[in-house]
Formats: sequence, structure tokens, C-alpha cells
Amino acid sequence: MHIPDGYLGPQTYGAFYAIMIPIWYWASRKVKETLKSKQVPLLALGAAFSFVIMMFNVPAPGGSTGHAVGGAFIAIILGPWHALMSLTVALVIQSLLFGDGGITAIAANCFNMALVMPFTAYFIYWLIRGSADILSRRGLVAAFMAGYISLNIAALFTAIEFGIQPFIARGPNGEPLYCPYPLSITIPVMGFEHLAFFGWIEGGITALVLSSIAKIEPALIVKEVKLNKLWVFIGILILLTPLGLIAQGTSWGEWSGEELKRILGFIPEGLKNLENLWNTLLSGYNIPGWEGPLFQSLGYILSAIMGVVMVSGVIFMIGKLLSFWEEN
Amino acid sequence: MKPVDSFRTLPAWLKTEGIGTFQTTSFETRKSSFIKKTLSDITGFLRDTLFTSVWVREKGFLQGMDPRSKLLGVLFLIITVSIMRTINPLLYLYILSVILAIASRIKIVFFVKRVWFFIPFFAGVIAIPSLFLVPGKPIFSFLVLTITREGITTATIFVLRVATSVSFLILLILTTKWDHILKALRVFYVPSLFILILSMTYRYIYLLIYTMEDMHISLLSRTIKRHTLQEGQRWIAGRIGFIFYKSRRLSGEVYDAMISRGFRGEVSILDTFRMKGVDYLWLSLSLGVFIMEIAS
Repeated sequence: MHIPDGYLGPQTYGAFYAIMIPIWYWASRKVKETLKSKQVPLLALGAAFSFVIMMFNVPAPGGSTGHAVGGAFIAIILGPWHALMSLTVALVIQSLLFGDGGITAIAANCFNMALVMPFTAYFIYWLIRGSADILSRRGLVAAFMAGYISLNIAALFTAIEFGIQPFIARGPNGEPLYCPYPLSITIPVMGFEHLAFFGWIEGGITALVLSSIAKIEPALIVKEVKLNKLWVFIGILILLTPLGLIAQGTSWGEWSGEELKRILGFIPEGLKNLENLWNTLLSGYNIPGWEGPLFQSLGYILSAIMGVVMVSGVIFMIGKLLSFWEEN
Repeated sequence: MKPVDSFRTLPAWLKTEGIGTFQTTSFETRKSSFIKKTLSDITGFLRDTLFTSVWVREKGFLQGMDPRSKLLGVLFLIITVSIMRTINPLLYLYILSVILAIASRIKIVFFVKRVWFFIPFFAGVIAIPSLFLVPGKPIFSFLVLTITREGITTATIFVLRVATSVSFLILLILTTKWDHILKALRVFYVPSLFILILSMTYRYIYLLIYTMEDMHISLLSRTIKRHTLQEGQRWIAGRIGFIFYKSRRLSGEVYDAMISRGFRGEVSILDTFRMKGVDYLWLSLSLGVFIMEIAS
């Protein structure tokens, strides 16, 4: 999942630097606050650990092997802010000293693997685990789901970053300049390999590593959890999403069915119906400014919030079901 | 003792070839041996670092430069490569990277191989289908597949762009000591504490990799039957847990050692970097290329 130089255009990697620099600054202050001066060797060894675990070949069905990113269990055992810093250090070293992942893409790689993955993993883990014991069935399912889902979300972000390239930048004759494939190709390809293969490795390793650490020294796993602050953080992410998209020319909200057909090659059936519904609903409200970027991003934020609420609701229900199952 | 002398004093059995291949009673087939795969990955990683560090000692053009201006210049060039829209200028910059490699006394076969070795696997796999998939003027048809002019342009620009940026990054890595690359990050106002963490991480990566290698060798030498999938995964998870536990303990010990040597949380990075004539030449070259591209 390490994006090399040349895959992303300057509009995209520049936007990711703009997103990541304040987050790095914030995270370093956050880590400083909680760890005091012990932070230096702790972060260094945390980063070395993050680097090394990516080198393990994990046996997978069919005799093949795969690598785990490790972002999920690092977030669960070190906490998401510490994971963000450790994984950033590991990714910077991989790029600058070993040429693995591009210099221009450092921020995008950190966004996918050091920000999105640990935070979603941490969030999903505690949402499902609740107050259950770490080694209980619910605790282990939580760990598996954290690894599986967070890796897939990170892969989805990577696929989106690749897939928007052909729309952002085209050469003089209309040919794509960077990653040449649209979303209709990148999302299914990345989605398939991560949903069907790498996600299982990541989830399995996350659950197994957590249970092995819990057996060696349970006190190492950070127990207290403040979901409130996480909600705030996720809220900020939701608010930032349309900003990045507007900066890239046509915003996502402006895609009509026709444009989507051009982009994806087809109009999703559900969307076609939804578009008609939308037109019917909004036809009475003939607000002149509704097409403007401000309202488009408001609509986008609204749908992002709805998405998060729906996904969290589902995960919360899974957690409740599991605890119900455990008790009986 | 010079390295050559120590090589002479080695016992004969250590100098014979084939050291490092493990004779075991294992029934493992090649297919299921994740242990051997990781071991050969580790060997490859260590070999790469060894070969990478060879060129730093050459007295070439890039080696003689201040790491700060080298890093800045390489960054300007990679950004320039990322904004180019046509084939020719990309080709000129690729040729520039080869000329720089020659001027830095890097064996050209090694350099070109090192860069292009990665390209077919990653960029090539992506570029080849785009020959057929990008719509445009057809110029060659084979059965159901049609290669378009736009497809060829897309694939060429993409591969050339990736190859050129990888070339510049590899040039930086091959001609600069790792601690100098990290210290040069001061140019971008990266806090010195962060640079200290980066360089400590780099050192501990090797320690943890050696630990990891030992674990795999010891498992391999006591393996007599094939591991099931579950056994293999459990073992790896246990080892990852152990490496975590070990690094956590180690960080406490390292902290104590730092405190007892007078560490008070303040970091000052010693750098003796000096800008010379060649640095100004290099910076104006890379900045010039960058401005020319922006202006065109």
C-alpha cells in the first residue's frame, strides 16, 4: 500500500501535506503531554517495531504468505496518537532511507496507514469490545474486526486517491497523466484483494497479537478510552473531506448521473432512482445558490455524517449482539 | 585490524560457500515455508543496505555535496517530474539522473538495474493494461485488443515519471550517509527531537531485525514437520507480541541510560555541513529546471 512517487499528481499529494502537517504538529504535542520526556526512546522503539512487523511473512491459506501493516494493533496497544507518530516515523524512514514509498507521497501514505488505519481500528475496537475482557470472545472479535475493517478503509482511501487521478489531470490530448485508472477500476481491484485476502491476515494477526500480549503482560494494553474526543476527531475528518475534494476541481457533489456514467462507465441503478427522488424533493425549494460549492459541501458533510452514524450503528449492534451471545 | 586481515584469520569452514543455507530435517515444502521466506527477505534487506552504503565512500559529484542542498535539489527535481505533462522533458530529466549517477561514480549497470527492477513489478503491471484501456485513436489491433495512441502516451508518461522520480530518490540514498539525510531535514524545520527519534529508530530497526532473524532460525532448526496454518500464524503473533514486549522494556532501559548520561529532553544536532560552490551550482540547476517547468 506504499504509494511511490509519480502515482499521484501535485494537487493530490499537496493536499495531503496540507492535511497532515497540522495533524503531525497536534499529535506531537499530544504525545509530549502524555509521555513526558520518556517519549524519545518509546517513540523510537515503537517506530522500529512498526517497521519490523511489516517484514513478517504471515502464512495464508493456499500456501501463500502476506504481510500485515500492523496499524490496528499498534493503535490498540499504544493508543492512536502514539501510533500515528510511530507509524509516521517508520514510513518516513522507509521512504527516505530505503526508497520504499515516494517522497512526495509521504503525507498521503501517512494519511492512509498512520492516520486513517490506527484511528478507525482504535475506534472500532473499543466500540465492539465495550467493557468486555480482552480475552473474551467479544474482545477477540473486536480485535479481528478492528484489523479487518481498518485495513479495508485504508485500502479504500488509497483506491480513491488513485482513482481520482484521471479526472484531476489530463495531458494536452486528454490522456491521463498519473495513475491511469478511474474509480470504477481502482476501488474494485483494491477492494477485492483487501476484502478477500489481506484483510483476513490483518484481522487474524491483530486478534492473535493482542491475545499473546495480554498473556505476557496485560498491563501493557492501554485500557482507558475516551470516545468523546474521538467523536470530535472523526467529526473534524468529516468536515475536512469536502475541502480536499473541492480543491480538486469538480467537487464530488456536482457529479450528475451523466458525469458518473462518464466516470464509472455506468449509472448505479440505485443512484438513478435516488436522483429522481432528490429532484422531486428539492424541486419545490428553488434555492438559487444550492448549486454553489458551499451547499455542495454541506450536502457532502451531511452524507458523511449519515454514513458514519450508519456504520457506527451497525458496529454497535454487532457489539451488543456479541455481548448478548456471551451472557447466554 | 583491517577487514582484509580479519577475513584471512577466519576458519576455512566459514569462508566456504553455502553458509547461510540451513540443513534441516524439515519436511516443509517450498510452498508452506513462511520461515525461509522471511529469512531470505531479511538477508535481502541486509544485503541491500550493505550494497547501498558502498557508493557513499566514492569521491563523486553528489557525494561531495552538502546534504542539505542535495536533499533540497532532489526534492525540486522530483516535484518538477511530478508536474511535467509531456514525454520529452521527462526523458531529459531521466537522462540527467543517469548523467548524475555517472558523475557520482555509481556503476551505471547497478544504478539502472536498481531503478528498473522495481518498475516492471509495480508501474509496469499498471501501465500495460492502460495501453488498451485508454480510449483514443487506434493504431494497432490484435484480436479483440486495440492499442491506442493515447494509451501508449499514457503508459510511457506514467512509467517514465515513476522511473525518473525513483532514480532521483535512489541517487540521494546511494550518495548520502543515512544520518546526514536525517540531519538535512533541519532545512524543512523538522524539530531536532524528531530527527533524534528518526535516527534512534534507524538503529533499533537493525537490532529488532536481528532478533527476528534469530527467532526464525531457531524455529527452522527445531522444525521437523510442516506447520499448519494455525500454528504458523500463532507462532508469528506470539513473536510479534514478544518483540513488542522486548522493545517496550528496552525503551525503558534506553531512557535510563540516556538520563544517566545527562539527557534532559533538549536535543542539539551537531552538523558540520558547509555550502560550497558545487552546492550553489546544484541548487541553481535544480531550481532552474523547476522554474522553467512552472513557467512553460
